This record gives sequence, C-alpha cells and structure tokens, in this order.
Amino acid sequence: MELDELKAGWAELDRRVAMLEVTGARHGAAAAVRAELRPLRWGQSVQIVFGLMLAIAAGSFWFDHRDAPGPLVAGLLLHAYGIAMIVAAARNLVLAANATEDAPVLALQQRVAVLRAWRIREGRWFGVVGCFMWVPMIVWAFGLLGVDIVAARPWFVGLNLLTAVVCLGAYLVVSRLVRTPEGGAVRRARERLDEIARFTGGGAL
Amino acid sequence: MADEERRRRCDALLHEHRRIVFKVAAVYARNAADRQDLAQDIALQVWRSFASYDAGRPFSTWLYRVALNVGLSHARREREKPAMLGADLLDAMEGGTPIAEPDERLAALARAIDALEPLERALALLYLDEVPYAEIAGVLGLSETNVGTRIARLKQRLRRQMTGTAPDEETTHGTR
Repeated sequence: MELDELKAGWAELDRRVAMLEVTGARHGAAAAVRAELRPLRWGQSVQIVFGLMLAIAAGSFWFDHRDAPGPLVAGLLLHAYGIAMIVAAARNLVLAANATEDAPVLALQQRVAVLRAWRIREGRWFGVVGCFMWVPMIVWAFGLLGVDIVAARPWFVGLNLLTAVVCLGAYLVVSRLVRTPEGGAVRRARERLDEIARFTGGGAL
Repeated sequence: MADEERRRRCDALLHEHRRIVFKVAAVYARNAADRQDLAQDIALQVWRSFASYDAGRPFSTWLYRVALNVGLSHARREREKPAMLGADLLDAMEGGTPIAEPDERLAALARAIDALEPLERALALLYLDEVPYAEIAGVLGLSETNVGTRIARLKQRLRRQMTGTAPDEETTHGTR
C-alpha cells in the first residue's frame, strides 16, 4: 500500500526527530526574521498620528477660510485625506490585532492574506491620490501666509494641477509597463486566498 | 516568580512535544540550516505566545496551531515553493554528525509532500501524525466533517502521486 510507505517514512522521520532537542534563540537572525506584522503595527500607528495631525490642522484651516472657496476646498480635501489615513491605518491595526499565531491555521492565513491584499490596494490608492494632494498643500501653505493663491494666481494652481495629471499619467503608464514588486505581492496575496478557497472547497471556514 | 514558573512549564511542555516542532520544520523548511532556523522560530513563538495558552486544553492542539502558522509564514517569506525535506532529511544532526544512512522511505515521503500546497502539507502532517479528526478540526479551524472530506481527498491525491496515476484513471478504477 502506497500510503503505508508514506507512513513508514513518517515513522522514520518521527524516530529521528525524537533525538533532537529544541534549542533557544542562539541566532539573532531567527528573532529578526519573525514577527512579520510588527513593522506594520508601528507603521500604522505612525500613520494614525500623522493623519490626526493633518485632519486637525486642515480642519482648522478650512474652518477659518469658509469665505474663500479655494482654501476652503483645499482644506476640505486635506481634511478628508487625513481622515482616510486614520481609517485605513485603524483597519489595518484591527486586522493585525486579530492575527495571533495561536489562532486556527486557516483563519489566521486568511486574515494575513486579506490584510496584505488590502494593504497593497490601499498603498496604490494613496499613491494615486498623493499625485494630487500636494496641490491643496500648496494652497494651504500659501493660505497660512495669508495669501489666497487660488484667487491671486489661478494659473499657478492650474499649472500645478496639470503637472499632477501628468504625474498620474506617468505613474499609470509605468505601473502598466513595469512589473513592480508590489504587483507580485498582489498576485501572491490572491494566490494565497485562492489556495485557502481551494483547500476549504470554497466553503466558509 | 510566576513568570519563572510559566517559563519552566513552557520548556517542559515544549520538550515533551518537541517532535511536533521538528516535523513542522521538516515539512516547511528548504534545507538543514533552514530547518534549524525554522525550529528555533517556532520555539521562540511558543515562548512568546505561551501566556495565551489555556492549560485546560490540550497543549498539542495549541502547539500544532502555532507551529503550523509559523511554518506557513516561513513558506510565505520564502516565496518560492519550499523544497521540502530533500535527500538529506535529518540524515545529520546539528553539527553534521551522521545519524543514519539516507533512507528511501524518507525520500519517497519528501517527494510526496513536496508536491503538495502549503496548506495541504499541514493537513498531511496532521494525518500522518494520526491526530484525531476533532483535534485536526481545532488546529485548522474546520468542522470535523470537513476534515474527513479533506483527508479523503488528500489520501487519493497521495496515492495518485505514489503510483503516478492520472486523476481520470483513478476515477475509472476506483480507489484502493
């Protein structure tokens, strides 16, 4: 019987590993390679702090410029961007908090794969939006100096917007032409989710 | 004092169940050095997570979860499909002392498991370790019925691999 051969091999493996001893963390490298989600937690915490600072500063800015359409819109956009930073980071932290190593295997693997896929999509979204966000930031910076740059130099703001569109176009073209590591990460995250779905027969866990 | 007691208890349980650690490392590591690192990684994670272990439940179930999750993370980091076991499968202990001649049974086992996806390897490990279905369900997070179905499919697949039978042929002739 073929399976008996496998079992005989497994029994031999079992016999051999019984002679080994678990050793402590003698190699620093072993500790370094683990805790894959730890940098994520730090990064997201920092993102929440920055998002909070941006939301507060931009909120206060647009509130003070309710009568000036240009700074008002710029302030609102930055305010929304700050809130989006907080929400995205908070979601990641919640997903990461549920990803403990002693969770059932399929549940944890699925959480990690979902988290990774979400992180990548979120990174791309912030990348695309980031192409434009420096325009309201310029408006904001001038506004802090007491200058409504939209009213005073509309062509300047228009030029910056045009540059942002060109940046976005270049970003999209490059991301289509070049196979970035990020693209590979998306594929791997999808493959992992597919593997879990195949393993569970597509059913719920 | 409580921490010291807990650490001692963890060490004792880990020693008692160390074979689980090494077998998971053997299934997911690429070579001897990688296997050693993975076993240490698993031990580290066990020590770190031991506070969450509920002493009222079997330690083996908890250890299988932690070890398999670390093993799967390791396989993910490696990105490429990990070359399991290999011809040198535990033929040398730490430090390179030979403990046995290369074994054909181990080579056959390595080939069979190497062809499985990482999650299937986890199931194969639990099946070959003769872990009860209820415990496998607890480790993987599946229902017992689902475990039975998956294991039946896994056994078919392993038989096919061992015999080199195509899936269609097997359907025609039935399973052994």
